[in-house]
Amino acid sequence: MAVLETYLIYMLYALLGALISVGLSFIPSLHAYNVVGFAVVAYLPFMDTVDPMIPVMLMIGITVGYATLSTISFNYLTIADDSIIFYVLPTSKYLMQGRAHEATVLSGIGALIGMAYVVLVIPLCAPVFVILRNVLSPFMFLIIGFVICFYILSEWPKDFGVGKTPLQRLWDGWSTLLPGLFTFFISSIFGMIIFYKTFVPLNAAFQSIMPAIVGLFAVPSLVINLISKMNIPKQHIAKSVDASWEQILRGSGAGLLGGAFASFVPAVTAGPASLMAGHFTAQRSDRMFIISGGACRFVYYVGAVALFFLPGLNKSKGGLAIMINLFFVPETTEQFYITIAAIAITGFVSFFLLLLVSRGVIKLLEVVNYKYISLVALVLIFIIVAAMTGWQGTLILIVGGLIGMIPALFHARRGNCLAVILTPIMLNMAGVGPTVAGWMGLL
Amino acid sequence: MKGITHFIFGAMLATFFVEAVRAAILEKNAIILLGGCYGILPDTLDFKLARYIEPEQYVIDPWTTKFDPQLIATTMAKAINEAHETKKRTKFKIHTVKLGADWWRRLSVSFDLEKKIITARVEGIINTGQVPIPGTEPPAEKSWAIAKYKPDLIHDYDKESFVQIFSGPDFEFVPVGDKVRVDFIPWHRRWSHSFTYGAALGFLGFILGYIFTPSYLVDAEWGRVYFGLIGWGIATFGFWGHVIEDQTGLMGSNLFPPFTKDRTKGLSMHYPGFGNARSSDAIPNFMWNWSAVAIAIYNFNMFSFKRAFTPPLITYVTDIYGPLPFILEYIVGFINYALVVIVAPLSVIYVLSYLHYRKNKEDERFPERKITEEEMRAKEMLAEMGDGFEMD
Repeated sequence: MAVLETYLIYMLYALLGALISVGLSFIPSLHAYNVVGFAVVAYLPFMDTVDPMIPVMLMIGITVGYATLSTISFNYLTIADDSIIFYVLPTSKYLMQGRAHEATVLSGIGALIGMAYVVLVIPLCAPVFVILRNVLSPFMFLIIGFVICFYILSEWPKDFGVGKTPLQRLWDGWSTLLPGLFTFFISSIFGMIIFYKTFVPLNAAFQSIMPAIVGLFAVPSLVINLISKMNIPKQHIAKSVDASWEQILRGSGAGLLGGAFASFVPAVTAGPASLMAGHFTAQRSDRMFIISGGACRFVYYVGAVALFFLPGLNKSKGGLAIMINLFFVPETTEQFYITIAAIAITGFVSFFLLLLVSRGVIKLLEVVNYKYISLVALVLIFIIVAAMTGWQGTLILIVGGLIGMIPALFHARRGNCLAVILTPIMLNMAGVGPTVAGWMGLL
Repeated sequence: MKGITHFIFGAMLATFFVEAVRAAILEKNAIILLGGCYGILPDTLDFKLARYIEPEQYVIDPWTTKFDPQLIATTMAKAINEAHETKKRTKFKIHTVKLGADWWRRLSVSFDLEKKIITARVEGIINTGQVPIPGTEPPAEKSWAIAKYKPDLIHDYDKESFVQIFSGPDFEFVPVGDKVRVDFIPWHRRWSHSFTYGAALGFLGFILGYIFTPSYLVDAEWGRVYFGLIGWGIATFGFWGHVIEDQTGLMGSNLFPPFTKDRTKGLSMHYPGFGNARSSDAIPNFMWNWSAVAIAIYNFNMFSFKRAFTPPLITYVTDIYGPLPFILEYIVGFINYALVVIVAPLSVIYVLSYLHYRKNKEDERFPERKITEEEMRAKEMLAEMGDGFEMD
């Protein structure tokens, strides 16, 4: 009976986490890991007295809720984090057509299917993950390298190529590619500096990359919101989603592939994984793209946690696994299944919360201009980063924001900013990170 | 095929170079990356270089022509007539109109093949998501114009082409007998998609292999040259893989420039139940990608010093016949592995997709819908164009 009570308490904490994520979904750009970071700091003094599974469940609940509900702020306020920035156009189209609620539900369907994958496939296919880990471990640096190469090479010119001479046309055509390449290059340098020089206070070292990520992705989106002349049209609550079973299956299939890849390979986030999975499965429909994004994000954030708890694998990938690892090491099959149960329950509840919150946001936007929400979010971001990482973190946030504005202003891929983690991790896994850092005078 | 399919295929071919796989394990040597990079290189050369250096003929920049639809229609008709009269190809391009960070003016040109009329339209403003902004349409009297052309046109796809976001459409008018055929992206798959250029550009792979030779080969006789040749092989095979994959379609490529001048017609590969697939279709791309990833994983495992798994058929055959030579072991294991990891899942997906299309007759890829070769060619060109300009 006592055991059952303990399980029940765990689930309640997980549900509490999911409820907390509702608050996050109203605040654009606030990442779950910001709040989870606070939870870690709050828990550390009580490590000897409080069961570590309690904060773990709370953190999992927040992450599951965030993986499902964070689509809200993006769909309605066009704010994107590093994992969502890649499918800006279809959801933006839905928003401008007054169909953001429909996009939200499609994304939620993707998240539900992602939850089913995490709950059913990961436990059943545990040996496959172990084999894949054993085969691919020596080649992880190559896989990240392939992602980087594809990413750079697959960005096509978006400008006209106008000019009288071939050179003039080339220069004009490359006017979006060059800022993208520059962004990749400068983000790589930024990443190397952050990885090899700990600027933030030592007690916040586990959040050292956070200000950079928030700066690179969230700040530019918020600034563009503030200077944009766009008005959000009246949003409609549709009774059904305009998607066939085929679109749901194909969209979620691509999302699962991308999410599984991102949850497994170091440094790769849901953004590039979703982009690559979309290409891999040759998607073209907006609906499939949105569903795919929902599934990919869920599997990326939550699947990584499940793989962390998976006995025999215990793969530490993703911000949550790293933060949990600060005070807890999963050891038993029981802990794995408790985690899976928490994911199932909170994932299911989060979907219904998503439907409710989406309606709430529609009402909110009718009375509050999205620019005010963006301004509040921007101020909040600075406060949170300063509180967590001091003035040093705030400085990193500003530098990240300036770099992030380059692709935003020049129509380049904003995902180029992800070089901030891709490049240093790839170089480190290839064993040349310290050498390159030495060339840069960082050692 | 889509860019990622070429990329993965090139990367997969690179994993057949055992020395490169082992160098990756022993010294974190990254020469294998060349496979993926060269796999996508032909399209990179076309969409980032060739299209700009291609000599221009008739170009309309709506900004500088004050959005005059008459000029667009007349110039296009002139290009068609010239191709017909001179029996030489002519080219025509319309640039897009960017009005702000997220706003574009939409234009369109359409063909009436019976009346031999081109209609050019200047439409309203759209955002980058291609959503129209209401109330931005020009006055009706200034929004359209027509021009007549002389020859019969062969134009087997959508009769209306839109000038919307990012890059505008490229047309080529090709004289065919007494008619003129409408093609797209004339600069695509010329010199860049060839075996000759692949072999030549592979020289960079040789240099990189020579420079980044693993330490255990550096002092060996011809060690650097040996690894340089591996670099050349990875690069060239990646490039050739792209050419071969594209040759499975109808459009084909110019395979041996400067010895050949025109594209060699492709094999027009037929997928039973689906007909001829376009380069952007899900089924062929997914099947190639899945197979390539599976083969790469198999190669990584088989060429490793310590295998993570051994296909049961190898154990079974070895128990009966004793230890096998490596090449036989590789093949026996691959048969077992491919059946489970490639053939079985792809068969299920293929059959389910086929059943779905059978039930959805409105789907344009429904197998019973026959299309002409010209229509197939136009479809493939448009698919290629879509790939090159897809949003990211």
